[in-house]
Amino acid sequence: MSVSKGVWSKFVKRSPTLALRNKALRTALLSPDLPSGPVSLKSKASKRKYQSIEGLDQIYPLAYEVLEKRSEDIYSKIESLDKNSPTYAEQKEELEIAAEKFNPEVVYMAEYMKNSLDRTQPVFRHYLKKTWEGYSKMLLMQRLETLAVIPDTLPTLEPKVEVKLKFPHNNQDRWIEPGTLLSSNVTKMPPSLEVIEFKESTGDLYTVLMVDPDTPDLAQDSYSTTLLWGVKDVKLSNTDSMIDAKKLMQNEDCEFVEYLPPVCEKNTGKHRIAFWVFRQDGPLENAPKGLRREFFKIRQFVEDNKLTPVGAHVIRTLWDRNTENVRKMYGLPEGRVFTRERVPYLKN
Amino acid sequence: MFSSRIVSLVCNRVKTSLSVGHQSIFQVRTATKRAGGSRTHMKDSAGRRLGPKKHEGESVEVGEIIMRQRGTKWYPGENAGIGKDHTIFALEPGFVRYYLDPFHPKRKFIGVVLREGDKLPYPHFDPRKRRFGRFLIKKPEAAEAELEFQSRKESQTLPELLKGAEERQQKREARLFELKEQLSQFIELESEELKNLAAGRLLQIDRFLRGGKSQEDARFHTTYNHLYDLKLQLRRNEISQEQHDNLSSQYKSLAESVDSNIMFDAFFDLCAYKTPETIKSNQEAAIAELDKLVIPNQPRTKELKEQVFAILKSQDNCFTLSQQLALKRKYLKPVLPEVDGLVLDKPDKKAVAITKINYDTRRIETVYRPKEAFLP
Repeated sequence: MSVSKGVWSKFVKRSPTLALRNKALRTALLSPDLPSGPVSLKSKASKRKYQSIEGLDQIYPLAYEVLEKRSEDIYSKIESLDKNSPTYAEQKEELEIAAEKFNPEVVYMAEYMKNSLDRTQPVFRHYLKKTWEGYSKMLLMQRLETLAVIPDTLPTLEPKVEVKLKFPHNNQDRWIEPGTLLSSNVTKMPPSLEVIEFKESTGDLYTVLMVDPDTPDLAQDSYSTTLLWGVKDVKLSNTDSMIDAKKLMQNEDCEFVEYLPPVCEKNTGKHRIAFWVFRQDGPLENAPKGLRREFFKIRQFVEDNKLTPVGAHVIRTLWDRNTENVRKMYGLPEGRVFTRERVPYLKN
Repeated sequence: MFSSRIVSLVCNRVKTSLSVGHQSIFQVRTATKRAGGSRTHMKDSAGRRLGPKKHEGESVEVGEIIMRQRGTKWYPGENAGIGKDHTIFALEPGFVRYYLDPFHPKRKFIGVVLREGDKLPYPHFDPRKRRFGRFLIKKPEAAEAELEFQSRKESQTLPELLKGAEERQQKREARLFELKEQLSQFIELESEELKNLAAGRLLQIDRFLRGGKSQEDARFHTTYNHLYDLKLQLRRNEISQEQHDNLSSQYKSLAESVDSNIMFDAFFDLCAYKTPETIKSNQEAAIAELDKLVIPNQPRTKELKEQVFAILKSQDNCFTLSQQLALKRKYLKPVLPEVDGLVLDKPDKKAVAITKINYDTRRIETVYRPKEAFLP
């Protein structure tokens, strides 16, 4: 017997993705008491032993009814909103979140089915954002700051999107944590990125820059920034958030600077490789094909193209026994070799 | 009148002096000064030579001491470090700067700038000013020696890593050979070169499938990797643009013919390609056959079991491993339910005794099952 009788069991105006698809889970979640325990109990013995909390069968339907009634009120408020108001979309999204926030099915899915949520639904985006802010966002900012990616590349960042990164070096897919030290074998092919938007997004354009701010600049006895990869005008939305080989093969104009793997020279230390994701206002104009990689001025580029940084990622690499092979693969000359120790005095 | 006043004053004086004298009679005065003539002011030591060792704008090298102090009167700023006795020293060569930092309004800092004109603190959002500080090794022999250098950790782990890589390579080659042998059963290819290409493609797809990619994704990424290799060859000027175009179109057509003839089954063995529609109809037919073959709650023979397994593992049906498992659980139950005819009243010579708890009576019961109740 299901407790749901009101707005949360009707799918004329609501998306069917707000309901649990698994029938067993749904009945377990929406029945006032659980005759044979929750679905997570597998063995017959534990199912038989399970006893529902005393009085839950009376309280649960009552609580559900109260929450459902509130949601119904919010839905009627959405309908009475002024559609011509400039803040209509914002207000609507806020109310839609409030209407579904406490729906047990939604809460269950947001907690246990994070990988298969329908990101077109504001309430799922809300829950995804909360989990991202709780860990990944803080981790990213900590890595960007301790590795001084900010301010060495761009002044600062207020992350708006989650950026996930993986390399196709082996037959497995594994997302990489920001700041991980990767070998040259891993980075030899262009990576795939996932850009997860938490606002409503239907076909926004994005730019991705991959830069190495630790290229030695011998003339200045300092470091310079090299542009390793540039991708522009990539169309992403809530449903399609990947920047991968498939997408780039279909739109060949997107890649304005071809991928060059980070090939560090011997004794130049660990190189930070920063990935910057920008949201564009319109098509990118000041990004010609075959832009000069060396002495890349990322701040100038961002200013010229009026880009807003919305997300970032960082990995680290250093010289290893395979670097020369990768150099040969890309037709690069042999790497230079530097002294192992840094000199304790100024060179000039 | 006047004289009497004087008398009383004198009397009072005498009284007070008497009381003081009275006290001094009973008080014991202990020695407050040490006997033996030791001196009380031995606390002075020689100066510790604290203070600045390098002043504003003076040039320093790495490790040179800039300030000696007790406690942190000064804090280490840009390119400066602090010792265990709070000595400030230079971490980079450059010029000393004494400065204040608005982020820490109560502290004074000592830093080192790389260029003589620079001021501290640097603007907060500007890129840091860093020194590379290494020389290029120009002599080829020295450069070679530096490249050859292995840290202790590397020299210890490298042989094992190389051995692992070698083993994996050998396994891959063996699998490639196997696939090349099997290839001719499904597809006719003219040249040895094309056969190698096709076998290589199958090997790559096999690896992606084992890694958990879908068939479509595995095929796409295999093609993508090969075309990427060709693109790199073009970049290295090993082939001309025309050759590149020819090779890539040749590979694309080969990929198409291989994909339309060969696919992998659930055990990563080669089998003839079937469209998703064919697979679906085959699977439906197979399930219908299973329904017909296996009668519920009837004893199973060895032959029946083998027949069912043959249907499950048939390459025509392309059941995935999880599908196979689900079907096996459905059609080949290890123990049949306790229905009439599959439970014995009395223990038999060949019967199997099963003890279990009856939760209603809270007793342990013994059920005797004939051999037919089990999967042979």
